[in-house]
Amino acid sequence: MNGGSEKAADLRKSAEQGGKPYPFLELGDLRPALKPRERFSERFMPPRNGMLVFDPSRCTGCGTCEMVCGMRNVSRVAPASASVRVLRNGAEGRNFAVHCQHCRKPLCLEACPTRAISRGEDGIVRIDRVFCTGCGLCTMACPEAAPLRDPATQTIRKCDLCDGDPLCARHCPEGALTYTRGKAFRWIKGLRWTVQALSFLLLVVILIGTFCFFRAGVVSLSCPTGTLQNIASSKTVILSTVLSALALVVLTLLAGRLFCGWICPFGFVLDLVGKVVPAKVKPPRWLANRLNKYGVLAGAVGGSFALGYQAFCTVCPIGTLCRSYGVQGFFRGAELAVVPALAALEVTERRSWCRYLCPVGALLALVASAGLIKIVIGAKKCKKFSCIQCAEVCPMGIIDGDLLREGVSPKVPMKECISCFRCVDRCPYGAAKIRFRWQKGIPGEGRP
Amino acid sequence: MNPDTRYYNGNVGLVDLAARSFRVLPLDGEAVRDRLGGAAMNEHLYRTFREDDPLVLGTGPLTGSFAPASCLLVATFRPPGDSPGPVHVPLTLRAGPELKFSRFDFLVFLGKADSPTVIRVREGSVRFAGGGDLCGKNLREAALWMEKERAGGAWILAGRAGSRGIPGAAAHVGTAGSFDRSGLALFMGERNLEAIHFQGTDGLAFPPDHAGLSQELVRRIRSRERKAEGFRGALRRLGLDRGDRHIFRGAEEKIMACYHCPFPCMTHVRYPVRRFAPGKGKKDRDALWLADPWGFAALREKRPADVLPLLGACREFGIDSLFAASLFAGDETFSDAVVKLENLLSGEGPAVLSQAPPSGRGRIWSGVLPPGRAPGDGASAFREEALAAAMILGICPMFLLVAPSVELADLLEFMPEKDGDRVRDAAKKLLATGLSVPGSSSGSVFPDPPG
Repeated sequence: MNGGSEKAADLRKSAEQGGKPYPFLELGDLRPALKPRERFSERFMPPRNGMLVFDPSRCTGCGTCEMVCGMRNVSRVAPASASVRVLRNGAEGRNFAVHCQHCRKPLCLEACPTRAISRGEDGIVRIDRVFCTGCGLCTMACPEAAPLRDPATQTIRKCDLCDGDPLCARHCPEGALTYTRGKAFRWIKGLRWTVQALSFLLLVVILIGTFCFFRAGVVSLSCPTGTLQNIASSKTVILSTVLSALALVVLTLLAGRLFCGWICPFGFVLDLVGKVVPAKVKPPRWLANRLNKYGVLAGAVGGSFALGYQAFCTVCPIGTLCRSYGVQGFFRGAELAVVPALAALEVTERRSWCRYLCPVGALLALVASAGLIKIVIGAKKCKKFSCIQCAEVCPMGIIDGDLLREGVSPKVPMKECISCFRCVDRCPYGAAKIRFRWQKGIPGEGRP
Repeated sequence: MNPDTRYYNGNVGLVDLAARSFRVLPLDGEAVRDRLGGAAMNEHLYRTFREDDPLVLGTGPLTGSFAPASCLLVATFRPPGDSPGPVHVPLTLRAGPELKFSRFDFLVFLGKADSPTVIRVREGSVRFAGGGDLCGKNLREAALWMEKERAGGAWILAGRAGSRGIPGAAAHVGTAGSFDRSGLALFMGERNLEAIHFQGTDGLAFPPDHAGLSQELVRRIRSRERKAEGFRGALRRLGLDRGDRHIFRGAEEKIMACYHCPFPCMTHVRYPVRRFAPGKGKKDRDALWLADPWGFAALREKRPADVLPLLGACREFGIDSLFAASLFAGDETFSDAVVKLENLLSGEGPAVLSQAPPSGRGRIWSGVLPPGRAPGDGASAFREEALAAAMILGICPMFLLVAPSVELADLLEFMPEKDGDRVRDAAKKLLATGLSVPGSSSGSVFPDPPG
């Protein structure tokens, strides 16, 4: 029950119980609340509501969608009265279907002065024709101008997904309009958290040793940045150490900065902190530069060379996390402060440390830029105007939501991507994909 | 409600170009009962106003309905010159439904406008506007003008060659060209009619169960034959495919369809222009609608290397590509070929050429088949009765060509049961009148169709 109806019910109950008779019933008491209630669970995973997905590469502009929609709206074949409109650019040879995207946060709903628009439990945004005055503010507010004016009656019409079985999708001869419950994977998230938690347990709590250097029998693994510092400080190259550092380099070549997104224990801590602490403080300009981390890397190696010991490792948050909070040395003095101090950067932006300062990430970024995989996002396949969930969930902030809103497919820089695959996991349209580096083509746009 | 006019608005617009006035006449139910609509009804209206040498634009009963490819608008007129009788030109894309949803079923244009005029039809009224801005404009400029007008709907343009009275002129429907091989553009140009714009803001109450019927029919047809693959698919189905892969190398193709057509036969192609335009970069492209397989095939026979840019030039100038093919020797350079087209526009073309009206049954469907070619010839065997019926019912005849398994009976499912025989009778009558009109084959500039 919405807020308005609750108030009306309260008034009715009060009158029935012998209280004051109906004092005054305003229109606002009958209308739905301005802001739809958001469930706590929706913050983490939006519900799987049905949606229409339009594929412009398939649309031939035949207008069957407009016909059947018009038939439903006014019981006549009247394309102009439809709630979906195909824009045809004959000179450019492009067709585009304008239809309501049933946004998670509808701008039309907030713009409507009579609160005639509401978003139902099923995720469908509807217009209550009783309250609609046809002012057209919703059309102006909507980035896609999806509430359409019927030229015959001068009223506003808006797609209501035919209450869950859209005729346009059912009749589209080319399958350009499809009705889907979403193409989000949604299992990557659970898998990633599990792997992160296990990695944390292994590297920090259970295993004797640290991420910096770890040996199990004949197998040894080491931090590549630590190894570089080791070489710089000792001025000698130990082949076995270099080989143990290569494991992470090879992993990065194959799957991008998978270590940062899935294994790094400090990354796990940052993700946990990010769940609790809102990122509301604007980072200072000197900090918000992605080149900083290369400077830190150079400084770490140069410092190690000059000082004769692994300079950065003493304050490395990954190392201190393993050393101070692990079984081999609980709470070792000043090192305790490193992790909370750097985790506090989460108040600025998600994974601020990884974005701007981490020298391990910097080294892996250099390797990842020559990696085998890439992430592509096809703007033409997604409902760019109102979704941009990929940009919202990206912890590294490398997906340009503004470009998506303009209908341009953003390029994802793999050297900054931590291969967490949140975008792939969350995209309801299957527009975000993992591809090999040499594969061309973008979802929804075909091959170049 | 008159059951004979149930699929119509019941309005005939009578537009007097000379007086810049219009009036609405009721649709004659008796005439509709005999002739149903489309080309047959147009011919009736043409004969009614014969003394004024009218241009009749008419829809069929199924135009705008749930019947597949119900996009047809038929233009009926007597071509300029010594044509013995009226000819019909099928106009596709969305021209028919837009006229019908603008509350007119038929439009009859009488007289001649004093100055270049654009006619705009909307909400049951006809508005006269100045057409000076469009006069003599290439298609690209006209497209920009149309975009600026932000009118939507469907346009019929006389084109640059048409407004100048150049032989071989072909009208445009939007930017997609047309099957005009009978002189509609010349006729419009002669009457100072630069463009006609329809904007359908209304609708028509076709039976709602026809939506499901249409879906079922499309499913049935697709189970019988493969889905059409745009223009190249249409070429293949018409037996005009000559291994054209090299022509489309490096081009971006986008399949396009007319109103409610499940078998698209058009392609919007963006091709690289570096070969034809020195100085252009690798990414520079030109765009073109491919909708006329016969014109493409004729031009390809003569100039296989540069058929796309030459088609583009023909479209720009508003010249029929079949006619243009007859101009070329085949051994001239690309720039010489374009110069020939430009000379034609400036009146310096070969004087012996003239556009002869199509003869015999060719006058019924104009450029859907080249004049002189009987339906049923060649690889695309189809029923001429079905083709004539399509011209009456308001169904695109090209749809019947590219989807040969579609039977007339399939289309008649969308008409009341008792109308089946009437449709067949009307089609036979139309075919008979098509045969009875003597056609002139002398001086024809149309080459024999390839294949």
